Amino acid sequence: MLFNAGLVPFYMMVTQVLNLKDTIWALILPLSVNAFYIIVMRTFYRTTIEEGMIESAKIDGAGDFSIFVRMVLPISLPGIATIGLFSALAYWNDWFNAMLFIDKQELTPLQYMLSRIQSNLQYLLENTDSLSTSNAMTIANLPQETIRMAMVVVATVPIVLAYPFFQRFFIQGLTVGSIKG
Amino acid sequence: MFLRNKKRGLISLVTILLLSVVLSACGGKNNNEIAQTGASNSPLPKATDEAMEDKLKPYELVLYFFGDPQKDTELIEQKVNEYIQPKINASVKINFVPWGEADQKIPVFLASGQKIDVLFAQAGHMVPLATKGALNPVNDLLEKHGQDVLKSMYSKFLDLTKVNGQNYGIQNPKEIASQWVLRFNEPLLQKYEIDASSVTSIASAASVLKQFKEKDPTIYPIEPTRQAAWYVPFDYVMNENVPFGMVYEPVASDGKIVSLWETPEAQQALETMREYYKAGYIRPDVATYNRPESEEQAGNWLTGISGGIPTAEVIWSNRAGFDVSYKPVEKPIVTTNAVMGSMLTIPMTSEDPERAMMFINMLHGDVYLHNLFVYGIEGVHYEKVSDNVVRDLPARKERWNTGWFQFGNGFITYLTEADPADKWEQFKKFNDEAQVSPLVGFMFDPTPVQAEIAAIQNVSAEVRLPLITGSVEPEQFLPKVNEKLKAAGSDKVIAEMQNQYDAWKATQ
Repeated sequence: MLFNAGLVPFYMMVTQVLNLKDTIWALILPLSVNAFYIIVMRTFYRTTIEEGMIESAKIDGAGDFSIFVRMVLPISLPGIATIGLFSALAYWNDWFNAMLFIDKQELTPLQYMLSRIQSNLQYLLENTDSLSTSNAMTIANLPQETIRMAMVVVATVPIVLAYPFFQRFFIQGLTVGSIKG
Repeated sequence: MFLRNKKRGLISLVTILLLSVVLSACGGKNNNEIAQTGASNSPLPKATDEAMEDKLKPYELVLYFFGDPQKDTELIEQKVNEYIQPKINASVKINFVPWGEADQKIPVFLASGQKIDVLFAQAGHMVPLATKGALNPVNDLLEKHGQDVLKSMYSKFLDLTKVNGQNYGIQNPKEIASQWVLRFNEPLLQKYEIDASSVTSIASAASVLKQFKEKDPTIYPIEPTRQAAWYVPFDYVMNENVPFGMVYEPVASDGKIVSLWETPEAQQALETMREYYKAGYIRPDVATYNRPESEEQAGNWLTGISGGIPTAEVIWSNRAGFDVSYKPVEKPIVTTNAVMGSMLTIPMTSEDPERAMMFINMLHGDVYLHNLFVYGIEGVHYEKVSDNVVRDLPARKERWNTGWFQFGNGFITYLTEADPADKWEQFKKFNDEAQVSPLVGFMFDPTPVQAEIAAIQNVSAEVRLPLITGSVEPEQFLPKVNEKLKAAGSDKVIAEMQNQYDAWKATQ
């Protein structure tokens, strides 16, 4: 998040060290860990999970692992759901990695296709004079505005639908009254 | 105890944050440097003299063209390999970069040292890459392996496209000029028996428009496009939204960058347009009207200005569904974008630039190889109608639909059935007739005045269309426009353009 070597080293890392060019992993791995989410989750643990709760579980004879699975995880569901939603959104909206690493058509994500159509259109409109001959032909091949708008809707619907399902995890006051005294 | 812990945690967190801000700032800078030096430091072309001594070692040429990735790329690769293997002992790997992304992707590819042997480029890509040292100069290579290229390129190409005294791009011969023309709806002209043959300029079209309006007052004769009937012989340093550049008819010889709206030519054209607007030759809401494509096909227009090239009438007639003819309103003019509209370059990351040059030479001299790239495989993507006339099969559109002008000598491209038989002769004539804009070869680097340019583009977006369509009275409106441009920083931008232009001129 804070330290960033920049685009060129990132590109070299993925294509030359990890050899991920034109594989589906180039779309998954770069987004899998995000420092900001870790900070959010850490703060979440610090503020919602009181020392006392863990102590009480210890008194009841729970080990570290069962404290984690049976106390901490259920309480932190809202946090996990938030991060889950963030990640889902990040993956869904990601076109940049695809732009850099994906040439194969069968791996092209929807968002990348949209951005490509948009940037191509922009380019053609800005460079009409240098492309004059082929211009007419190329523009004829571009999707009309209606089709582009339809694509935008198609691209938005799944993520809009996902929201209500995440809603049930956003519960307030889960731990109210868990500690007394 | 707990409190103290918290405090210490806070302090260390703040320190880390501060540190990282400082460090990442450094990081950003380094990174740019890496990007630049990385490109120029990449291994120099290994002297290939040894390679030439006995026979050529097998080599894979990595080619990058622009356009969307094509489904039949592998098929074409196979065919190309079969053909060039015996001749230059090389194989190819064909890649496509979508048009709009080349600016972002190509510099990253080259800075990371990725091997690219032949790279398509236009002026906007070639000049920055060449300045950074990411491309191989081609002058010596052309002498050595590019005999066919030297024959087929536009004669003045190498002189007009030098960067710091050397050439980095190899032209793909096609039209090197552009020309504004008035196009006419032929069926309507015939229906009302109007003779448009005497039209040579926008002003001389007045009588045609007048006759038409009298005979059919229901149709607005001028097409409501973003160009309407606007023509000024003016070449822009950047584009029409940054209205600074030079007049090319008569050619500005003083080497001064001026604002379009302060030239007498523009004022003249504005008055003509205003007259036409008042006479009702164009729809009153043209400045805000978004013309649907179907209207062009409906044929309820008589004329409009358009960028033209030889045989453009074929493309227009096909699209409109009826006969469209055209009359030029100027001589063809060579502009930077047109002359450098299609080039092949050999990046520094190529391991064997000589082989790349041999391959480019074949694209210029070899009819079969060139057309393999353009049309695909005979019997699969196209079929031959006669010796050099072809017809597309459905697979061409679906599986191998590429920009034809990227693959070497455009003048050996097979014709389609709609093309006139002398299409390429017309193109060559067009090129030979062309006059050269004083700005050809100059590429402006807008970074120092980016903010001003953005402001100027906003002003243009607001005033350009009302002005050029004649929707407003130029006498009252123009002074306000000039004021607005000044407020947006036009003086600073023009001064910067002038500086860079003079510096560039000195290296020529």
